[in-house]
Amino acid sequence: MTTPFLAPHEAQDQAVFRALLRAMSRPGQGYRLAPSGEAALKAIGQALLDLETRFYTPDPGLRARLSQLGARAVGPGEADYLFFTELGEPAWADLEQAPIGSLLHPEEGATVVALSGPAPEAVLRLAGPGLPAPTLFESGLPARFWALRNQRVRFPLGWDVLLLEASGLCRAVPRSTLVEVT
Amino acid sequence: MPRLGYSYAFLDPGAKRELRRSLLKAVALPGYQVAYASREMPIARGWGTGGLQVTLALVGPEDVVKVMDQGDDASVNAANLRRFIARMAGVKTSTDTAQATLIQSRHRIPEEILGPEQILVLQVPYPEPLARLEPSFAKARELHADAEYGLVWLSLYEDLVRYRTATHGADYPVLVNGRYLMAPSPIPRWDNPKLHRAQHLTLFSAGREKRLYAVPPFTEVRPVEFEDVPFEVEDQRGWADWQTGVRHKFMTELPLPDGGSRHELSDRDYARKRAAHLPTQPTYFDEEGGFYQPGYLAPRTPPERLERLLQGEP
Repeated sequence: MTTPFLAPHEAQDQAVFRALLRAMSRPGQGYRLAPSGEAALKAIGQALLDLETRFYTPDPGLRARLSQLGARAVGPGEADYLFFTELGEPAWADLEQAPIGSLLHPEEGATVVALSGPAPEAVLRLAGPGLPAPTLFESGLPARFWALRNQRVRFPLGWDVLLLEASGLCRAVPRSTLVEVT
Repeated sequence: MPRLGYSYAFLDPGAKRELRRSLLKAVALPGYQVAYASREMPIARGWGTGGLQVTLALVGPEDVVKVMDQGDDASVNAANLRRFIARMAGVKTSTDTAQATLIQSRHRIPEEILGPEQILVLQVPYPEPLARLEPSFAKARELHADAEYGLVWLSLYEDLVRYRTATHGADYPVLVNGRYLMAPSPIPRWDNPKLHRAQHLTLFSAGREKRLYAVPPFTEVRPVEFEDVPFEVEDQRGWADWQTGVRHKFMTELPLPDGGSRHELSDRDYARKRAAHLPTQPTYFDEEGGFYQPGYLAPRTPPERLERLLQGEP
């Protein structure tokens, strides 16, 4: 019996999704995505975005590329997915507006996808579902980002974070995780 | 020549993306029911379409898929689902719990402890644990939003007063991560503790009701219970498998023509391995009936003590 054809882009979407699912299930742990850097941002977009979704990114090149998937480019306050190639001064205002969902529909809280810097900038203590015991995690995102994240997350409200490292590893910090900036 | 006219793993890419987005949110919100579209499948709703859609959204060429139904890989429903998944995704299948990367199951969690890289997909008929107590789904959603679960404890108390036991056999409600009340699907109470701080990810999906939810690894899962009347699993202490003599695993009772009965291991793959003296993985309940996480299951409440408690004596 023959099987339906698995197109290369679908194979990549499936592999990316499985890595994201593993990452979400185990906060802070790195899982390899085949592409790295900005290509990884696009691969995540391709795996999850289509005409049913809204996204925001301040990067014009990435916005054009993601729009080709059929997803609507909107402001940060309406986006289901926010993509950041770098986190600096203008990003804080965007993140403050990112949807955190409602108590009736917490799943409407956004997913924030960000490229993380090469050098560790903040040491975090993570605890919660997915972690056998509290663990320390050196994040390439600044402490300011995590302070803002903690301010916005009131479980079950908040946004979920996907970090992409230059090495091609993807790590997740879902809103269920307790993050302490040490 | 590949099979034309179907997408890989049957679902079209848009359907898969929608399921995948919902699954990621479900993992970030342990125990919360995420609504999803639930496509038409080539089997009727109520026959495992929810679990099937999740399995198809996950599956890739590298996976090894196991499908079981009430612990049995050979049931018609399980065999058909397994064949369909294999045909549509070109994956290997196995009945061996230890070999499988993806396990779709109806109403049982295997006896052998699942590894961290395995994913368990449970088919769910009724995802709303409050449905017996609050018929309006809109109202139930409000109760979940406020974590207002007093009704559930009240109903458990009323059960104890009326029947001296909890009337939930299977599908005994649990509190996940200290926040959401969740229906664990109609697994026996025996399987409930296996969800608590498990190494593996469990995904639940109800195709007819169009909801899916998740219990990530190492997540607190507590049954609804009272401090002085703790949760109890089925009392099968005196039972032994009629073929292998194995005890302290979940059993099915088989009636005999003479009016008596005998007992049989419900997890048929585990029974097969034990009967053939093949190596098995460690199990959630050991040979003496002890649960692998000491202290999670409290000692049973003797009937006299329950009686005294209900009379208001300390």
